[in-house]
Amino acid sequence: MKFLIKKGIQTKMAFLLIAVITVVLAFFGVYQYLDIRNSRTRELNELADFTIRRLAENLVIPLWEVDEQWVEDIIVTEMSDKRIYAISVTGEGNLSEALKRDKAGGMEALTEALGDGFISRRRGVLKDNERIGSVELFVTQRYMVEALNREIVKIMLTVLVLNLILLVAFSITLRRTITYPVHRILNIANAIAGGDFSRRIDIRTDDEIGRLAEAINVMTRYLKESFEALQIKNMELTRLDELKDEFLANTSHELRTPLNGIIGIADSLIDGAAGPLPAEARKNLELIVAGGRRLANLVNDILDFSKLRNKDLVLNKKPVDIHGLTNVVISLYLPLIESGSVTIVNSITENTTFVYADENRLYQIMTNLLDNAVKFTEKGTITVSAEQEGDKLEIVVADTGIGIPENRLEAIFEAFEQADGSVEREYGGTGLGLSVTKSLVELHGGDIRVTSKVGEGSSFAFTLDIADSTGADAPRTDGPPVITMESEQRPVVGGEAREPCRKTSEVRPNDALTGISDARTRILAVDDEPVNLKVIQNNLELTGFSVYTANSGLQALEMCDAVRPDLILLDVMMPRLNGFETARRIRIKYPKEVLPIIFLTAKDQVKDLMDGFVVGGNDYIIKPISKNEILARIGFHLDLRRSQRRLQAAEESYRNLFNGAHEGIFQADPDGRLINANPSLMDILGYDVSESMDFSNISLLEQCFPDPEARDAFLSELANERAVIDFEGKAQRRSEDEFWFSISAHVVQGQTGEIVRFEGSLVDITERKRKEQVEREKEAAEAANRTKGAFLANMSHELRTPLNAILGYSQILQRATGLNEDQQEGVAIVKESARHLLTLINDILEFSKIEAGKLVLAPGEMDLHEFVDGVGGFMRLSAQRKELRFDIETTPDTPRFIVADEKRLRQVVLNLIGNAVKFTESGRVIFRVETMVRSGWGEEKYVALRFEVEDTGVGISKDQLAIIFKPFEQVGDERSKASGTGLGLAISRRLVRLMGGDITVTSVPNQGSCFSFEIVVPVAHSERVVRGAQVAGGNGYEGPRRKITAAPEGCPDLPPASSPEIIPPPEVDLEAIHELALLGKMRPIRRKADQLRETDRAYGAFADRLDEMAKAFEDKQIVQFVESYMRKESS
Amino acid sequence: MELGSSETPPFWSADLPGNGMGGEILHAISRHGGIESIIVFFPTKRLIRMKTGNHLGDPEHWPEQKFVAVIPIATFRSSFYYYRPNHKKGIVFSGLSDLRGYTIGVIKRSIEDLSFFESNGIHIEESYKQESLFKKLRLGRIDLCGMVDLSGILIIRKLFPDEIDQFARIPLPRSVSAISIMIDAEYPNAAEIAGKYRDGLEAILANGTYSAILEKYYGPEHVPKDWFVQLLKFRTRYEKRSVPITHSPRRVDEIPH
Repeated sequence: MKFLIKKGIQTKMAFLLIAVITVVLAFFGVYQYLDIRNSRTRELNELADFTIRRLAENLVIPLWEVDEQWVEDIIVTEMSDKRIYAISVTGEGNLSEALKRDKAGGMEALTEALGDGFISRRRGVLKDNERIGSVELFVTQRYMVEALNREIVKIMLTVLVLNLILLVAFSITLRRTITYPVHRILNIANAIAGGDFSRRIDIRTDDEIGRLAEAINVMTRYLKESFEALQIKNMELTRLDELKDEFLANTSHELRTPLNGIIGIADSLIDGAAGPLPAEARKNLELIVAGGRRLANLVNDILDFSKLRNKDLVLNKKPVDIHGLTNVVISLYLPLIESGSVTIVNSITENTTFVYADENRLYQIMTNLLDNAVKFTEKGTITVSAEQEGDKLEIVVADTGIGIPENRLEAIFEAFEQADGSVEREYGGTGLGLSVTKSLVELHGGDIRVTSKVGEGSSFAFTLDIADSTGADAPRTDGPPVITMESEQRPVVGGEAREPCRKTSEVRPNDALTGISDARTRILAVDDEPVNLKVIQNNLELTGFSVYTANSGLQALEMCDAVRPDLILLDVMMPRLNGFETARRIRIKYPKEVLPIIFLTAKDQVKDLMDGFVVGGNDYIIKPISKNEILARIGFHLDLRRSQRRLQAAEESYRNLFNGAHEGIFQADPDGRLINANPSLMDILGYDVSESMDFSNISLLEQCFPDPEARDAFLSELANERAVIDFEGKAQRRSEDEFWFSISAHVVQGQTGEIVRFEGSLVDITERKRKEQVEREKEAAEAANRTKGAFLANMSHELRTPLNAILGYSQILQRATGLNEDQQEGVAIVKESARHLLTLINDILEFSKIEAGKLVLAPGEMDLHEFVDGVGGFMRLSAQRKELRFDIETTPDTPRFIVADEKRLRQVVLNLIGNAVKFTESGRVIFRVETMVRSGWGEEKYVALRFEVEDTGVGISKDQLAIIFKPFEQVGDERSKASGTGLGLAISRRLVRLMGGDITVTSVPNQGSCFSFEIVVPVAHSERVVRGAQVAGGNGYEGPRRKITAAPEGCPDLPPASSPEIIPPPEVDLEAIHELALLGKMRPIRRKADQLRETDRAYGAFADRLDEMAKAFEDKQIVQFVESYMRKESS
Repeated sequence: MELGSSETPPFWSADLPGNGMGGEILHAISRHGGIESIIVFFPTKRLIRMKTGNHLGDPEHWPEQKFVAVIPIATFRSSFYYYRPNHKKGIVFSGLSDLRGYTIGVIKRSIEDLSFFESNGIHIEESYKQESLFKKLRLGRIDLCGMVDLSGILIIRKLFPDEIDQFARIPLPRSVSAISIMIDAEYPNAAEIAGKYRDGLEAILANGTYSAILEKYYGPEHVPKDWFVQLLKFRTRYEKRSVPITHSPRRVDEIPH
C-alpha cells in the first residue's frame, strides 16, 4: 500500500471502496458458487438414480432375450445425455455390453475399470424376481465443473461491473463532496504559496472542510501582513545594499581620484612636465609616487577583499597556460633580483596541462605568492612548480626565505594577518594579500595550504581544476610579457613590486603613438577634478598632443563644436551632466568613428562598462589611470580613426568606380540571387536605378538565363572552370524587352572549398549582336542575289532562244511561197503571239533585273540632239499611222553631248511616247526636252534635263493614277491593254529612278496626260562621234537586229550580217553572255557557246572565239567582245 | 426377368452374397439358361397377397394364382431344436401331446393362435430374433424352438461354433416344402422363359454347380439325404400345377411389379 501514500484522497478512497466492494462481492460470489455446485451435484445424483432405474427396467427383455444389439441400442439411447459417461451391462449367457464416451463425444467400448470422479450406480436386472443380469451407470461431473466455471466467470464479471458502477457513483459523490473542495483549497493554497495573498477560499460548510478553508483564509491574512512587512524590510535592505555598493564605488572613486592625481602629477613632474628637476626634488617626487602607489595597492586590496566578502566577484574561467603565465609573472620580478642573491626558477614545463581559471585572477594569485616569496627571501631560490593530482593541478611556490612559525601558519590566511606584526613595518603590505589569494583559490574550487620552517623557507601550494581540453584552442602565454590593464590596476602586496611591471610595458604605448602625437592632434579632457585634468594635460602634452580641458559636461559640449577635437577623454562621475549623458549628447552630432570617446572613471562594475558603451563610448579606462595605458589607448583609437578614414576613402573610391562603371558589376550567391550590383547592371536588367533595391529578390541567373539548359551550362562551366569569360546569352529586361548580354564571372570559395558566391561583370551586347545580324543578313542577301542573277541569266537565254527561233522561222514562213491564205494567217498569228511573248518575257526579265538590283546603268557619252531626233523620227511614223500630230520641242541651251545610258534613256522615252500614241486617238503628242539648270565646279559640268511627253488622249482617272506605275497594271480599253505587258511604266519609272529622277504624271480624263521626268547628267568633255540613232523599223521582229541563218535566200527583211566572219547571236544571248562574263562564270559561257553552235552554224565563229576566251578565263576580254556587238546591235 | 421374393435368409436375402442360397441357385440357373433374373424383395405379407407376377418361394402361398410354370429348385423343412445338456435324456416328439409341459420358443407373431398351444399345456414364448431363441435354448429359458432347419444350422454355427453337436434337431413330419420359380401365366413368352429356366436347372444339376451351392450352405455332411428325392417329388407335383397358355401374350408395359 505504499504506492497509495503519494496518491490523492480521491484515489485512496477509490482504492478503499474497490477493496470493500470486491471483498463483499467475492463473498457473495463464493456463496453462490457453492450453492450452485451443491444443486448441480444433487441433480446429477438424481439423474443417476433415475437412469439406473429406467435401465434396469428397459433391459429386462433384451437380457432375457440375450440380445446384445438390443442392449447396446438401449445403452446408446441412454447415453444421449452427455452427462452419462459410461454404462456397463452384464447378463447371463456371457452377455456383456459396456460403452463409454470417447474424447470426441462419441462412443467406444469400455474395457477398463473407471476410477473415482464419477457418480456411479449399479443395479440388478430382474425378471420375475429372478436376477438375469446387472447394469452399472457412470455419470461424469465434467460438465457440471464446466458449468460451474462459467458461473464463476459470470459472477466475476458481475462483481466487476458492479464494482465499476459503484466506483463511478461513489467517485462522483466523493468528488462533489470532498475531492473538489479539497482541490480548490489546494489550488488556492498553492496560489498563496506562490505569493498571491489576495486569494480566498469561498467554501462555507459546517464540516471539517469548511473549517479548514476558514483556517486557511485566516492564515492567508496573517501571511499577507507578514509578507508585506517582510517586503518592506527587503526593499530597505536592497536599498541599503545599493547604498553600500554606491558607497564602495564612491569610496573607490574618492580614494583613487586624489591618489591618481598625486601619482600622475608627481610622475609628470619627474618626466619633465615642468622642466628639469633638481636631483633632490626628483628623489622626493619618486618617494611620493612610490607612496602613492603603495596606497593605491592598499585600496585595491581592500576593495578586492570587500568584493570577495560580499561574493561580488565573478570569475571568467577559461583554459589558461600556467607555464606561460608563470613566465610572465616571474619576468616582472627579475629586475628586483638583479643582485643575484635570489634565483627564480619556473619548473612548470611547457607540456603541463592547462588549468581552468580566470586568467587575471590567477595572475593575481601567482603575483601575490611570488611577491611574498621575493619579499621574504634574501638569498637562495624561489621555485614555481606544478604537479597533476587527479583532475586538479597543484601549483607550488617554494622559497628559501625566513619561513613562518608553525603557530602562525593558519593565521596568515586571515585578513589583516601577517606572520609577525613587525613584518608589516619591515616588508610593507596590507595583510590582506594572502587572505585575498586564499579566497580567490577557493572561488576557483581549489584550496591553498602552506608548509614552512623558520629560517629554511616556505612553500605555498594551491590547486586548480584542469581544463577539459588540452588547451589547444587556448592561446599560449608565450613571448614577451604583456600585462593586461586589470592586472596593472590590481598590483600585488607590496607596491614597490609594481615598478618593474610598469617598466616592462612602457615601450608599447609610445610605439603606438609614433606619427600620431603631434600638436595637430587635439584631445579634449573632461573632468570635474582639476587635479585629474592637470595630470592628463601634463602627460599628454609631454607626448606632443594639443590638450584642451573642460571641467563639466556642458563645457565639453561647447568645446566639441569650438575645438573639433580628435578624441575626448571623458570622466563619468561629474555633477549636473555626468559623463554618460555628455557622451550621449555628443553622439547626436559626432559618430563613434569620427570622434572617439574614452571614459575615465573609478566605476568598474560590468554594468558601468555596459552603460558606457551603450551611450556611445569607444573605450573605458578605470582609475587610477596609468600614463602608459592612457597613451596606448589614445594611440590605438587615433590610429583606428585614421585607418577608418583611409578605409572610407578607399571604399568611396571603390564605390565611385563601382557605381560609375559602364559594365554591370555584380555579386551573387550560389543560387544566383544578387548580393550586390552596381547601377549599370540594374539598368541593363531594367530596374530603376534610383529605387532602393532589395537585391535578394532578384535572381540574376533566372533573369539572364530563362532557359534552364543555358543556365545549367553557365553554372557547369563556372563550377568546373571556376571562371567564365564572355558567356553570351539572350535575356529579358524587367520591361520584357529582349537584350543580348555577355557575362564574365568567377567563383569565390570558402575555407573548405565550397562556393560562397560568384561575382563578375555583365555587358549589354544587343547593339553588337544587331550589327552582326545585319551583316549576316547582308551576306545572305548578297548570296541570294548572286543566285538570283545567275538564275535570271539562265532564264533569259532559256526563254528567248526558242522564242527567237519561232519568230525567225515564222518570218521565213510568211515569205515562203505555196502557203494559202489561211496558212498565212495562221503563221501571222504565231508570229504575233511569239512577238508579244518575247516582249512580255523581256519586260519581265527587265523588271526582275531592276527589282533584284541587277540592272546597272552603263553611262557613256551620247549625242542628245541626235538621240532626240532619232526617237522623234521613229515615233513620228507611229503617230502618222494614227493620223496624230507629233511635235518635238527642245530648249536652245540643250547640250549636245552628255554622259548617260543612252539605251535605257531611249527605252524610257520610247515607252512614254509609245503609250501616248497608243492611248491617243486624235489630237497630238508632244515630246519636249528642256534644260532646267546647268552647274558645275571646275572641269565637271552638269545639266538638269526635263523630258516630257504630252498627249490629248483618253487621259487617266484619279483612281487609275494611283496604280499605273504598279507592275502588271494597265488602264484604258481592253484592246489597248492586250497590246502591252503592263510592265512598261513600272520599268520606266524604275529606270528613271536609277538615273536619279522620277516620273510624274498629270492627267485629265478625256483631255489628255502629261508624263515627265528630270535627270541630272554630266556634260561630256569632248566631241565624240556619235552614231546616228537608227531605230529599226519594218515588220517582224522589232528588237535589235537579229540574224536568222535559217532564213531562205532572198529574204528582204533580214539585214546583212555585221561581219562576214563573225556573226553575233541575238541581243538576248549577248546580254546573257555579258552577264555571265561580268560574274566571271566561264563554265556557263562555254556551255552557251556550245548551245549557239547547235542553234545555228552561222554563230560558229562567234562561239569559237567566245569559247577560246572562256577557256583562258579572259572575262574582261569577253565583256568587251560582247559589248562591241551589243553596241552595234543597239545602234 | 423380375421375380418377387421376401426377405427370408438364408434362402432369400438382399444382404447375403448371391442373394442367399436360393438366390445363388436362381442366378446359376439363369446364367446357364441364358436369362437375366432380377429378384425384387417385398415384405412377406405383401408378397403373399400379390395375385399376379412372377414369384420365388413356396408355391403354396399362391394357391389361386395361375402360373405357366412352377419350377421347384430347392426344398426346406422345419425342425424343433433343443439343447442337449438341458435335456440329457433327449426329447421324443411324435405329436403335440409329447410337448406338453415344454416351453417352446417361436419368432414373435409367427403363431397366430397361441391359446391353442396353451390349452394343450404347451407354453409358447415369443422372441424377436432367431438368435435369441437359440440363446434362450442354451440358457434353459425355453426347451424347444421351431425353425426352418437351414436357418437353425447356420445360427448355431454362427453363435455356438464349439457347441454345434450340443444342439439336437427334431425334424417335423410333413414339413418339407418346395422353393420354386413361379412364372405368371400372363407373362409374355412365359413358356419360352420357363423352358430356359428348366434348361438352366438341368444344366447346374448336371455340372455339379447345384451340389456345390448346397454344400456351401449346409456343409458337406449336413445336406439332407433325401434332398433330391424331395425335389423330384415337388417337380412332379408342380408340373401338374402349370397351365397351358391359352391367350395371347401381354404387352410388356402391362406387366405388374
